[in-house]
Amino acid sequence: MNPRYLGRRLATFLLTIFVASTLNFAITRLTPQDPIAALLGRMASRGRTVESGGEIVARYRERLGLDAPLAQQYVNYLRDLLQGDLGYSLAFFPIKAEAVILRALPWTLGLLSLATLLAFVIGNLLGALAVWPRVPAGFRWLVYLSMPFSAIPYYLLALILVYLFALNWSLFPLGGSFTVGSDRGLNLETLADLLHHAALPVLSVVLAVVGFWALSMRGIMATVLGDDYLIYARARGLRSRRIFSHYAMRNAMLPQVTALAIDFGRLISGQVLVEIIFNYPGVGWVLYNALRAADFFVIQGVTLFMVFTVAVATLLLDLLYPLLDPRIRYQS
Amino acid sequence: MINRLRARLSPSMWLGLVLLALVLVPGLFGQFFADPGQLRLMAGGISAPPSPDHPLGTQNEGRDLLTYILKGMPNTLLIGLVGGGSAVLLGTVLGMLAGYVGGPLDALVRNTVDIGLTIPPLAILIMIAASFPVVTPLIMGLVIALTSWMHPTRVIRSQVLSLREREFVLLLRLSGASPLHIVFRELLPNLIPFLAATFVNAVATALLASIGLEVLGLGSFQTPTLGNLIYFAIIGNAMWLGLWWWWLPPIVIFIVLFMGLFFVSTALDSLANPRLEQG
Amino acid sequence: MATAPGDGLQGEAVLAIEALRIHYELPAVTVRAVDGVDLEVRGNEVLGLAGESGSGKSTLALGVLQLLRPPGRVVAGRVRFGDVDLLELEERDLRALRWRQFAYIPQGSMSALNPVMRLRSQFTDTLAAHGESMQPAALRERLTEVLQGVGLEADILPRYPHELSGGMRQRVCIALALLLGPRLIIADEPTSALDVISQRVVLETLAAARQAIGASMLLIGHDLALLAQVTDRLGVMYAGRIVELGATGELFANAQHPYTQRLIASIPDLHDRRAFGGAPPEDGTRWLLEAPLHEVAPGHFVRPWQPAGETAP
Repeated sequence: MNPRYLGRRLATFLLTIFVASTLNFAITRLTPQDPIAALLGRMASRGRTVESGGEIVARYRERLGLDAPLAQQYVNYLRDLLQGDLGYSLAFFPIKAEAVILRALPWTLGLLSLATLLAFVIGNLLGALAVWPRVPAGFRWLVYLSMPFSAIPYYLLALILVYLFALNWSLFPLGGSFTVGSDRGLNLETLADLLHHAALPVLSVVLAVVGFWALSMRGIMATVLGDDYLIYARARGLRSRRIFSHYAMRNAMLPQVTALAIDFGRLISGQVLVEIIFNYPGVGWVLYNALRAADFFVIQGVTLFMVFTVAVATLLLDLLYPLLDPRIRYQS
Repeated sequence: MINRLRARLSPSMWLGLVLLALVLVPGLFGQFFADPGQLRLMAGGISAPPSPDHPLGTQNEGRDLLTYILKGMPNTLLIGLVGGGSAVLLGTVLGMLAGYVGGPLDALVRNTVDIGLTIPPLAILIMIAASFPVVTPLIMGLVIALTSWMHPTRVIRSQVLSLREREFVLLLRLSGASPLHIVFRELLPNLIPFLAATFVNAVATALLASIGLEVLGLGSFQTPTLGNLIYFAIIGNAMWLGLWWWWLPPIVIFIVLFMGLFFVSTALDSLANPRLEQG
Repeated sequence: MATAPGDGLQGEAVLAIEALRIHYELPAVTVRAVDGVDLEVRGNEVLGLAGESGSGKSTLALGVLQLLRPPGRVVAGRVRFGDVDLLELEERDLRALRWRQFAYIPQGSMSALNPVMRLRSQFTDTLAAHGESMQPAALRERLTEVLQGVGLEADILPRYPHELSGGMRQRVCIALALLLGPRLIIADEPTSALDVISQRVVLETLAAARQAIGASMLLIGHDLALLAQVTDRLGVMYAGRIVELGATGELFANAQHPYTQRLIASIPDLHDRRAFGGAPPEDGTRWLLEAPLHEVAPGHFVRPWQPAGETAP
């Protein structure tokens, strides 16, 4: 792989993390008042009872080093971050914030990758077929119908899905990630139970995101259809199926992979909210509870986690891209 | 231009405009018919289903939900318009200058946008909303704009890049027109359908972000908004208690609103970029 | 060089285009790109088709190949290939004939080859599409042979198109066209993207390779001097119609139509393409494009025109 390409991507990755961490620090210090007092005040104004508020404030102040000069606070913050130290969770003291987040991580990553992958594959296929010649018109309408769904926020869709499929028709569980009390061995039953719980959250993301991919794939495919290599492939008598998969899709996927990297932030934000609707024990659910309990370091940790996940996903896709597009490998 | 617009009022545009009108008309004018007294504690029965007195029922403190919605819609729309409008305004200025002037300014804008696009706006918004005590709809809109100007900047910059190579721009430059004149008086009008599409998308993005924050409980609870209504409904277990009149109406309004924005933006897109229409 | 006398007496027609009309139906106007063309390509013959861009010659090629893109559409005519009309065929039957019977060499080899696929796969795809999947050893032998026929080595096979020079890519397209030993090759400006020297070399490679498999060829181009080198007969196309057609030598020695004369006269300048514009001359000459071709010598046909000063008959 081209070392300059690699270097640039790594530099962007590190810079992104650095900028986001600095922003995160700056925002908490820009408030006219003590960030902890502000947070507790907000929670109190919502009628949250914050137990032993005074003790929490004291502990936060000590941890944040609010009496040290700002530059010193910033250095401390970066140093702790580099060591993966996000501070104590106040709600689950003495558990650390990073432990709370790590425990929730597998659920979020599992749900996120399953939903993203399904939506990406189905959406791109639908969008491509929507403009492919000699595809039945009925099928094409199905594609057009899926597109407006992309305009509806996932979590609103999620609420309706819960109401219909879980509450009204009892087809799926109301929430959670597995049946409480079930034995969770490595067997098909466990897998089926996990999928049963993941189905609605995944469906709400997929329903919403499929249209997004279909819509942009439709536009790219419309261009690719007129490209010379497609005409030339037809001239050589290649089978339509082969042209579709190895000539049209293969090339039209390239900008979509780039778009996936750009869109990852939106995906993870939607995921956080979907987890709240489904009481799914992922990072979004952790955030929701942290917000309700004014658990400052967990809130900060989750937002840093969101930034980090998106940056890692972008980096991985950037590193994957030259394998998909040989032209990149040789350019400087 | 006007004739072209009229000729292109496609079915998608009509559908979008009708859907938007369904939300905007009651959203903007309904507030004048609402009686604030209905928002008082126990203005009706607790969690009462829809009835002639309370067409959309009441919530668990006996407040009238129709009144809440009529009072909340202008605030929600304000967040969307301020957020989307400011983001596009910022993006237009930065994108046009970066695209037209080029050089170090362009490099700076481009790199900032690249990094900014990688940071999920919600992550920053959560920190802001959690750290600052008072969030009015106006401030929320502006804060959302601060985290969402990158996308408009990027698309407008690339439009300007392709426009500046066109012959008429070259002629203008040769005739000694100033860059500012060229950018804002000559290029801008060419981009109007495109800017309109970008604006509609930005409004949708801003609304999406604001609902996200409000559903997380980070909205301003002194001000009624549809997002807050959903949050209260979730907190109040409206769904499990079967109080559909509490959580369903704001969701239906949002769906109609987002569908309307989607269809209008699709129609504007094909106006700005006719090639797709044959697809 | 020419392999058979172009006197119109030899060989059955491999391809017979009859009264072909192709229109681009745009919302406001209809462009008649091909406006009633009759043309025959005979056995083992190279027929050249000359004309400027916009004369409809590329549209004609794509129309014959049934590869027109909307809004292009064949509105009338027949394209007889052997004993079938290509325009009447089902897509499935057409696919079976493609490449095995008639191959195509496109204008821009850069954009014609799939940019993200190794060249080997683009060859094996073509073989597989016609039921010729083979063992690695046999495959290698077959590909080496066909590549060497166009002056390339087998070591280009694992490469991607962008790693080759323009001339090499064009040779790859020629090799692909020869792969299944077709009866007819339709080449649409196969060298126009190359520099002057490569043009000549690649065209000679193409002519030699064509002769080796005994295929007929319809060779489309705008450069009369280049076409003259390798064609038996030559047609001149203007505004969607043939204005003159004859044996290459005869046409050069005895050009009748003013347009042909001007194309020939502009040969020295033709490498910079702005030298010549195809509008009728300013002196009032009218080209009677609707009138039928008439034969001025055996096998030499010319479309009538009306010199300045005369009135319509």
